Amino acid sequence: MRKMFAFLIFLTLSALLALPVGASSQQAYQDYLYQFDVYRSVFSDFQTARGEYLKFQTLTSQTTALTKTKTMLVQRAMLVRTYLLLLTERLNENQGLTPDEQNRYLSLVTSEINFLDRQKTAVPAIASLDGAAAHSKELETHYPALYATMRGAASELLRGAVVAQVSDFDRLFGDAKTLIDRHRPSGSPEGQTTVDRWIVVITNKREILAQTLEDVRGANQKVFKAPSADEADRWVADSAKAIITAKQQLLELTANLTELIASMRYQD
Amino acid sequence: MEEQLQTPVQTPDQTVPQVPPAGLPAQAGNKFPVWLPFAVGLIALILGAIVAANQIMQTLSRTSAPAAPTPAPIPTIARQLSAVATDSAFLLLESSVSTLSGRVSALSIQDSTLTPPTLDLPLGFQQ
Repeated sequence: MRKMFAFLIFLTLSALLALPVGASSQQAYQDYLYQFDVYRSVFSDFQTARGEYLKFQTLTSQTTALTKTKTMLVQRAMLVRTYLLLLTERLNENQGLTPDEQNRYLSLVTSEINFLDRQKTAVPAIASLDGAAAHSKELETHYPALYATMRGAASELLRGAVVAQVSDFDRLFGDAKTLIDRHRPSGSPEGQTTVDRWIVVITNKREILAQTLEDVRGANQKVFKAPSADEADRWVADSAKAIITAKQQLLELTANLTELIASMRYQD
Repeated sequence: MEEQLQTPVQTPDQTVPQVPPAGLPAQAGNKFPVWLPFAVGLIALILGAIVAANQIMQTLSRTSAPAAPTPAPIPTIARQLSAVATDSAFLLLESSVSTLSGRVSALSIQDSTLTPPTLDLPLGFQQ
């Protein structure tokens, strides 16, 4: 009976481990959407309280404004933190980034999460609207770096998605070349010429794709180092254009590989 | 009945009209116009020319109209399969490439879920 129970636990754990890779990031995304809804509501209350304080300048309106501001500051930190957690999950799931890249970006994201945690922890101690403004100023000053991290990591996730498919392509192209070499003695000269021509074409196009992916990576590194949100956005736009080109090149390469496979099928 | 048929009744006042016997044109003599055979011949010639012209036009229109495209028969070339075509590794590779092709086509390079939140940073208590 005990063995049966242990076996059942083992099966349950195995089933949990076999859950789809994206389940964590899906949950993180749902959390982010929820926090965004809460933030919208809290921010609306804050705007109302601020408006009343600026209009009436009474002690009551000031107290209400301070309360609503503190609530908003906490929720703002929570919102950005949840987004950073979403990035963390997506970075962990990404198959195209190297472990070194993953660790580097995860480290950057974690340091931003720590910053926001400090911000959130400091809010209860705020005793005045001036104190709230000073507290908010910390985030305003730090925001370009935070924004660069968020945008850079998001762009690298997109590059990683393409790189994962490119890796699959490389593996299959390698398999095709191995098969060709193995069966070369039994093939006809005409068939071999066609196959060799495809290999040259694919190899050349693959080098061009490598350069495009390097351009994407270069643009993304500039996003991480951008001194302002505007400059980060400009580099993100450059990266996005290069990613589109990379996908197009990968599509062509896959079509060429399909042609190579088709030409391997026949002797002539 | 027989009498009626044999002897037609004639009265002295009636004169029998002189009808020229049919089938004797030579006896018509001067009344038959001389140009009639020529006119008939001319009309026959014109009709013949019209029919001939019509035939020629039809033939010309048939030859000048573009011929309807007729599908050329596709020669079926029996291509000989290579030795690798029956290799299980080749068949696996073929299906893997097909799967990859589908994945690359469906690859999304714009992810709206990764858009960072937009924040209104300054609190705005200073007017």
